[in-house]
Amino acid sequence: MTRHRTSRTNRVAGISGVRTAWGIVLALLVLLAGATGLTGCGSRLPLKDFETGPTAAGPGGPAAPPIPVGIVTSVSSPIGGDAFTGPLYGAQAFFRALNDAGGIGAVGGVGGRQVKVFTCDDSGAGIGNQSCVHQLVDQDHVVALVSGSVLQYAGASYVSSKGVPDIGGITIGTAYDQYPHLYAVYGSNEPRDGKAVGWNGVMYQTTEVYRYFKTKLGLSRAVVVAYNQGDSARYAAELAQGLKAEGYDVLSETVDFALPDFAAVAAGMKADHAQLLLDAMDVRGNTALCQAMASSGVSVAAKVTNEQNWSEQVRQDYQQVPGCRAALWTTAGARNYEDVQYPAVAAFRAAIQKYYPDRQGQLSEWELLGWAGAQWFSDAAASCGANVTRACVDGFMTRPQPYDAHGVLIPADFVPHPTPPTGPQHACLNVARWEDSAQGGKGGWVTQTPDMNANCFDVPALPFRP
Amino acid sequence: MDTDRERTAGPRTLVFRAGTAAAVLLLAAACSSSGGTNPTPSPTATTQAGTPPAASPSASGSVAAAACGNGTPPTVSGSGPADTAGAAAKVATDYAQFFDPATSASTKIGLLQNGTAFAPVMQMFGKDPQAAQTTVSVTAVNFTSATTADVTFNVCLSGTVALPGSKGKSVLDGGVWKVGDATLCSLLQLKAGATKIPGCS
Repeated sequence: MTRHRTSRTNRVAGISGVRTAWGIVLALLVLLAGATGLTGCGSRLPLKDFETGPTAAGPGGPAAPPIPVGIVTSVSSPIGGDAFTGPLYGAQAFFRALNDAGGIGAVGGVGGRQVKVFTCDDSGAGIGNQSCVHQLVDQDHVVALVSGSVLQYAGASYVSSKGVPDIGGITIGTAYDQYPHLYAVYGSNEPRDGKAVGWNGVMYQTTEVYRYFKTKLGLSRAVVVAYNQGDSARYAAELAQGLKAEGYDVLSETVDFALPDFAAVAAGMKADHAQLLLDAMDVRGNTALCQAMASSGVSVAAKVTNEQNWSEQVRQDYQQVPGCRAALWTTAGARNYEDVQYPAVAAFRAAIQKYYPDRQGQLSEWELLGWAGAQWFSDAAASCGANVTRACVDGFMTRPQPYDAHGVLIPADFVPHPTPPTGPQHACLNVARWEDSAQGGKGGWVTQTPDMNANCFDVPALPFRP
Repeated sequence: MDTDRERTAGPRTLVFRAGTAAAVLLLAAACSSSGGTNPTPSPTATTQAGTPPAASPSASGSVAAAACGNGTPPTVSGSGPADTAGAAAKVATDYAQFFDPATSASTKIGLLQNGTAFAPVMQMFGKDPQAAQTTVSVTAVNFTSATTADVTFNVCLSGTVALPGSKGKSVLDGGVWKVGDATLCSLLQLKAGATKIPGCS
C-alpha cells in the first residue's frame, strides 16, 4: 500500500480523488447548468462587492502596501448562472474578513498587510481568460492567483511561465495537472513539469466513493444513467468502470437526450433491484427520472450526486421529487459547509453572512473551497514576512508538509511523484446526505462520517486518458 | 460479481449532443446563411427600485419570448446609456439577428465585436444543417456601463430550452450593440472541446 495521491481537482458525480476527461467534465458542467440560478456581473465585478479595506498602519510607521492578488472566474458563460461563482464569493469573503481583522500578519488588528483583490470575468472563453491573465499578471502585478474557477484556462501556460503561483484552483480542464506553479485546491502528486498532463498523458481515478457505499451501506447493485450523447456516455463509462472495480453489479441505462424514456429506466431499475444510482445527466433529467421512479414505486438507498451539486440549490431543484431528494448523497475532500462546529467553517459562514448576506440561500461547497484557497494563499504570504513575492509564496506551496486550510481540507500537498500510482491508494473522503428534517426542518446537508480524515480506504487507481 | 448489462431506453436517434450540441447548433445558427427567422426579443425595462419603466420598447418582428420565443419579455437593469430601455431593445434585437440563420454573413460580422477577426471561424460553422433548429431568446439585459452590458439568454433547440440562462456580453461599438467576441468564443469552445479555435485562445 502506498499513500500516493492523485489529483483531486475535478470531483464529479461521486468520483472522489478522480480526474475525468476534459470533455466529459465539461459536458457534465454544461448539463448541470440547468440547476443553477442567475447572476449578472461585468468583466470587472461590482466594486461594492469586492472593495478591500484601508491599509492598516503598523506600529512602526506607514503600513506596507497592499498585497495584490487576482481571482479569475467565468462569471458569464454559456453555462450561465452560478456555475462558477461559488469560489469567488468564498475567497472574497475570506479576504474581506482578513482585511477587517488587520490583514496578513496583524497582531491585535494592527501591523498587518492588507490584501488588494483584483477580479476578472473571463466570460468562459479562452480569449477572455488570456485577457484576464495578462491584465492581472502584467498590469495589476498580482503576487498570486487565488481560487480561480474557469471554463477555459487558456492562460495557464502564461501564468506558469511567469512563475505566478495559482493557488486553490477549482476548475475544469487539465491545466492544473500539467503546469508548474499551478496548485489545485485538492493537491496533486503529478509531475506537473509542463510537458504532459498527469503521468505522460495518463491520469488516474480512485474508487473510494464506491467503496464507501459498499462497505458502509452494504450496497452491491448500481445503476448508471446517461444520455445517448458522447460526453455523457464517456463519463458514465468511467462511473461504471469504477463501480465494477469495486465489485458492483452495474446496470447501464441510456436515454435519448431529446426524448428520454425514463419510465423504461425506472422499470429496469425495479427489475434489477438497483440500490445505488449515479448519473451523467442534468438536473432536469434527474428530476424527470425521479418522477418516473416515483410513479413506478422505485426507490434507491442512495442517489449520489457530485460536489458541484453540494449546495442549497437542491432544495429547489428537487422540490417536486422529495423521494429522490431524501436519497441524495454527496462526497468531497473537504468539510461540509454546514458543520460550524469546526472553527474554520464557522468563520466562513460568519463572513458570508456579514459580507454577502444575500448568498445565504446559495451556499455551496465550492464557496467553502474558495475560502480554503484564500486561506492557503494567506498562510503562504504570512510565511514570507515582509518579503511577499511570487517566488516565496510558490515555495510555501511546494513544501512537503501537507496542508489542510485550518481543518477545511483533507490534508494535501504538491510533492511530485515521478512514477504513476501503483497498488492500493490510501484515500479519504467526506460524505453527506440531504435530510429534509435538518436545519430545523428547512432541510440541509448532514455529514455522515465522524471524521473525514479517518474515513479512508485503500483503493485501486484506475488509469484513463483525458 | 462483476457484470454489466447494457440497456437502452427511448429512441436511439442522436438528435442533439446535450449542452455541447446546443453550442454547436447555436453557432451554426449564428453563421448559417440560410434557414428561417427567429423571433425578435422585445425587452421590457424595469428600474432597480422596481418601479414601472418609463417606456416599454418594442422591437420589430415577432414579440419576444422569455424562454424560447413565447414567454415574458426580457428585463432591463443597470445603468449607463441615457435610454436604457431603448438600448436594451437594441441589444436584444442585435443578439437575435446575429444568431438568426437568415442574417447574411456580412451583417453578422458587423454585429460581432471585432467581427472581421472571426469571419473564417464563422464560415466553419456556417453550413451546419441543424442551424434551423436553434433559436436564441434574450431574457435580461444588465447595463454595466454606457457601452457594456451583460446579457442573459436561452439557447433553444426546436423550441425547447437546451442551455438556460446563458450569460454573454454586449458592447457598444460604432453605434451598434454587438455580441461580445468572448461570448462567441465561449460558445464555439463548447463545441470544439480541447481543440483550439483560431482567434479564441
